[in-house]
Amino acid sequence: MSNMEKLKPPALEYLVERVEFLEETNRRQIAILDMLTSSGDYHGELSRAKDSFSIFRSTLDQVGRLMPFQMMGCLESMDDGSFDLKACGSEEYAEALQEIVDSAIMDGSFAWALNRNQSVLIPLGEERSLLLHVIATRSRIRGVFAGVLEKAAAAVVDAAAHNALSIIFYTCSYALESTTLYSMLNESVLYLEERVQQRTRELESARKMAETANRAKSDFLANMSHEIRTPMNGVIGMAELLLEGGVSETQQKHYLEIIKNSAENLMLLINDILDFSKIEAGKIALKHEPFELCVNISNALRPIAAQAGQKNLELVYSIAPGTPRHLIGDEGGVRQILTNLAGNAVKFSDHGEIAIDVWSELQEENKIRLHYKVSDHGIGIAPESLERIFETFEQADSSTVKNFGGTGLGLAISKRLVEMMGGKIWVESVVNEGSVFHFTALFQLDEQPAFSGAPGPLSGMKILVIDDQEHNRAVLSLFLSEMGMIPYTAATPEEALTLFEKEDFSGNRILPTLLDWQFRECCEQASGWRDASPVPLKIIYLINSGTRVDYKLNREDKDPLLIKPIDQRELEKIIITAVTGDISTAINSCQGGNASSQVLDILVTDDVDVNLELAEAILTRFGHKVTLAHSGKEALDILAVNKFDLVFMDVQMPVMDGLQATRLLRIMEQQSQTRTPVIALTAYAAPEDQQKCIAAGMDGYLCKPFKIQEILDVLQHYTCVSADDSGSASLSLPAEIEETEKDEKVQSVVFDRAGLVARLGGRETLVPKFVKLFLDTMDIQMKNLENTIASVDCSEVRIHAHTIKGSAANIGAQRIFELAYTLEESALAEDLGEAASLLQLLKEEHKSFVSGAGPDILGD
Amino acid sequence: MSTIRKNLPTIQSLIESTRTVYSLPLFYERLNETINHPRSSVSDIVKIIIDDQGLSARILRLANSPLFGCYSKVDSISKSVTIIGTQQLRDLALASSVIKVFKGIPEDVLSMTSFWQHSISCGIVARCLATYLRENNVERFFVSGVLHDVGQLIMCTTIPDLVKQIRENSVNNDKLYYKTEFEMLQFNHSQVGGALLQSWKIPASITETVTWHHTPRFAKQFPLEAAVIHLADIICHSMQFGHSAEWCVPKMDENAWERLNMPVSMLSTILKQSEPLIHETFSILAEGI
Repeated sequence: MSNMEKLKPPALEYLVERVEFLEETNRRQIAILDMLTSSGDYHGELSRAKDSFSIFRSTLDQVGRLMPFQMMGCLESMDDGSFDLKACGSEEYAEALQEIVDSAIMDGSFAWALNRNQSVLIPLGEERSLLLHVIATRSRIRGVFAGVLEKAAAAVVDAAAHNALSIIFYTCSYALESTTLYSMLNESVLYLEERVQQRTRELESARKMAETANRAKSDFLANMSHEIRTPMNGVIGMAELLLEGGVSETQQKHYLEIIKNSAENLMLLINDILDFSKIEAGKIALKHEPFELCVNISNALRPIAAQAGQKNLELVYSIAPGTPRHLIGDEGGVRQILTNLAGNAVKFSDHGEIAIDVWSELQEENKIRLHYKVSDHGIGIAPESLERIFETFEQADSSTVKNFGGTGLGLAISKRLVEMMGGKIWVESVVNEGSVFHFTALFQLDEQPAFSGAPGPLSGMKILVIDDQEHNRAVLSLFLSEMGMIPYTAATPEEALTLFEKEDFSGNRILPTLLDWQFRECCEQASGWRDASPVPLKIIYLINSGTRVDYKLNREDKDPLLIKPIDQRELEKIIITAVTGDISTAINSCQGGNASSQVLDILVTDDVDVNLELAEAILTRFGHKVTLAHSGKEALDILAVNKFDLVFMDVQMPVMDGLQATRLLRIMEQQSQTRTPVIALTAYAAPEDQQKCIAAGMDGYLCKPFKIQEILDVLQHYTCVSADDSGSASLSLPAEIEETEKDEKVQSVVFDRAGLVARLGGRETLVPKFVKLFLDTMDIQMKNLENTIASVDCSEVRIHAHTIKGSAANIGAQRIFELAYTLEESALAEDLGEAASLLQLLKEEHKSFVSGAGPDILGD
Repeated sequence: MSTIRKNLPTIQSLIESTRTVYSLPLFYERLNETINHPRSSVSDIVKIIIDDQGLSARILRLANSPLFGCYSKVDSISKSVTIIGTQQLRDLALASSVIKVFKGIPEDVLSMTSFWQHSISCGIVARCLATYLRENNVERFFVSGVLHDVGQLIMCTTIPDLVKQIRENSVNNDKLYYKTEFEMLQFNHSQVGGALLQSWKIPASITETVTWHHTPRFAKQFPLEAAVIHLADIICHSMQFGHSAEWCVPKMDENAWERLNMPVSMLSTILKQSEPLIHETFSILAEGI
């Protein structure tokens, strides 16, 4: 057939038709090609498009130029696999188009179209057709185009147009992909920028924190270094001087004292650092033991009482009425906090009172929250430092370290302790007006207090309290009421006179009276105040610790002394003693620690000879009989044959340690029905070590290195001798003893040589050395005294007179002592005229001492 | 040497000698013109196809076969025109009618069953590759695959003795068949096939692809299409989906693989999709061979 056609020339009509067809096809194809090549507008719009909607919109515009759609729209492929009609040729038919698409989805034609990368025509009834075209890149389907064509339009097969459609949708899909990737990129960039900024901020703050911490540590190290160097300097320098030799006795003693003081300072420092590091390491466990609030506070104030007394600061405390006082908690912790806070108050104040107030903030079942307030009138703290001072190694101002010393750890330790006790600590302060420290702590109530205010021997007895400090009156009243006594208070002796008139004291045989030391003159005067009382008064003096007591005055009327801050138990004891007339005990109670009061048989066990020697030296000095043992075994052997009043037992020893020895001792004692108090000596201060000691049957606990005073306290405690407070009031212990011993002399002598020899343990050979030392010191002291009297400086005069007094007491120069004492008093009274005349007398007395002690000096 | 050369056929001589024997069915030209005519309609196309009863039946069977996996039954040519698409239909019609054209080739030269099995497999694999690549109108890949070795048929008809000799030489020298062809004739079957399709006025996208299916780097206009057929051919040879005159697996052009930019892992997916389609498609298209 094809061969036939080729042979025959085609008819004209056919050719005309053919030409027309070719021309028409040509035009159509050129038109479409034009449309595609001139689609710069479309591409421009795509490149400007920021989101899928604008891309779909420009695509629809472009498609509209190609085919006459009745409706058209673009569906975007969503992440969950669904398709959303995102853009429509016109919003009017959006719903209708959606319906058509939905039915295509239902019959599967939609899904089928997704897999055909070409126009897919689906008949819609008789009139219309649905054209679907997937919009996909190679990697994923981004959407679908849906357009509705009239049947007539759909029936026209226009391959070129369909190919053009495919090109448009292919372009569209890549534009969509670019936009998505671009926005992802943008997001990533933004996210990264944000991360970088965040990291930068974090790093910056971390850097600042590190720098601050580093600075604090450096400051701390600098402070520590300074704090440690100062005493070390003293120790090393003095030791060198001593080693070089050729030093006078006086200087030797002086140097040794410096070494001792320096070492003690170092010890305090080390304790602070250890405390702090233990807390930081979480190694401190709170104790859970019953204690009494007032005892706790007075114990806390005791170590600083002397310093406060020297600065003429009144230490007072008051407990709000109704506050439970028998508690269970960490007594030591509270004490440490109070000592720290009150100690700071003392350190940074030079006038006014330092007051501690305590009240109950919250009480629930058997729990209680106490609020403590420690206020002073000191230098205060600048507002900007208020937050910082509780931080480690911080003092308000690093320059304060130079002025006041201290490690800066006290408050940090306190803060951590308070937090462990479930409380908080804060401070209010005004510069130059004073500071008020607050802290709260949780305790348990002690339902069965060991010490109760049950009616005692003093029950129903009336008592008079005269003190100008309201705080003191309040505390005393509280204590006395609890003892069952009926207290009457007056601010001054004059005020008491009105009480004498108003009140009926006739029921009392005698009227015990607590009188502040400053009013002692009323009693010294022969007539007047004291006689105004309807019943005889039994005076008990209240003195501030640190006040030097004139024992001579005291001796005349034998009035007992009670040292503030007041301990309730002591108070009770002293009143009982006073009213029952056992005066000797009362005197002992205030001046105790007397070498002659009681000679104890003491066994000291330690494997280190130095420690044994030290203990022996201290104990024999106070007249006790000392036996030494080098091990637990040796101690047991000795204990098997001899009876001792007290045993000091080192915990760590070879062969048999202290714990084991004590256990065996207790077993031994079961047969003999006795019990010897055993006090542990150890360098380990942790509570669990303490518990181990108690568990082994020990009675007490002493930390190495121990101070003389601590040993004396233990002696008094375990041998039923009432507590000695005067001892703690002075560091110059030998002077105290001297005064006590002198107390027993009937007449003062120029030089009590025998007393000195006794104190030196009978070693007469030492006398010249000591006398020379004394004289050397005296020369300097006298000069100083003279100079200060000339420069009219009362407080300096007092200090020098005081020093001379102490030295004189030590050596046994009784007259010098007496004169120095009077001179000190006149300086205190600011009577320099009297001081000047006393100075002349003192000079003479000095001369007579030199001649009196002549043989000893020559002997040297 | 020169005497041998004188007796040697050229591509042109081979085409000339088969032009009358193997002519493209008339309907294809009509169909092509109708499709490209701006004013023609679906019904015009339908009319042309239903003129050939066998073709209509095969198209309907194909449209309903898993090759299309159509969403609903295609029960009329007019429906197949709308949903499959006019150009796609034209390509399918081409593939399905060309097979009928090459009848009567002696089995001792080439097994026709095996040959068409290889060719149809290649078409299906190429179509799958194109689908994965999201190519527009995947049917042209199908038809290119089906027709890629059509040159071999011409040579088998026109120069059967030479073909046998080429084959022997190729096996004896352990050389690829198409390379041996080139050595002996200065051309190979792909060029012959391309020339035939060109003479039939088949679109360039198919002609060029067939011409360069062994050396796709020479395809200037349709390099991707040539690369796809090249790979599909190699896949079918290595999977032994039927056989052509080539007796071993042709060498792969690395550039062709790279052009597809396809992960190797996709190959197994494509094979999984292609393999089940081969048998049915073969039975539709190669019916009666």
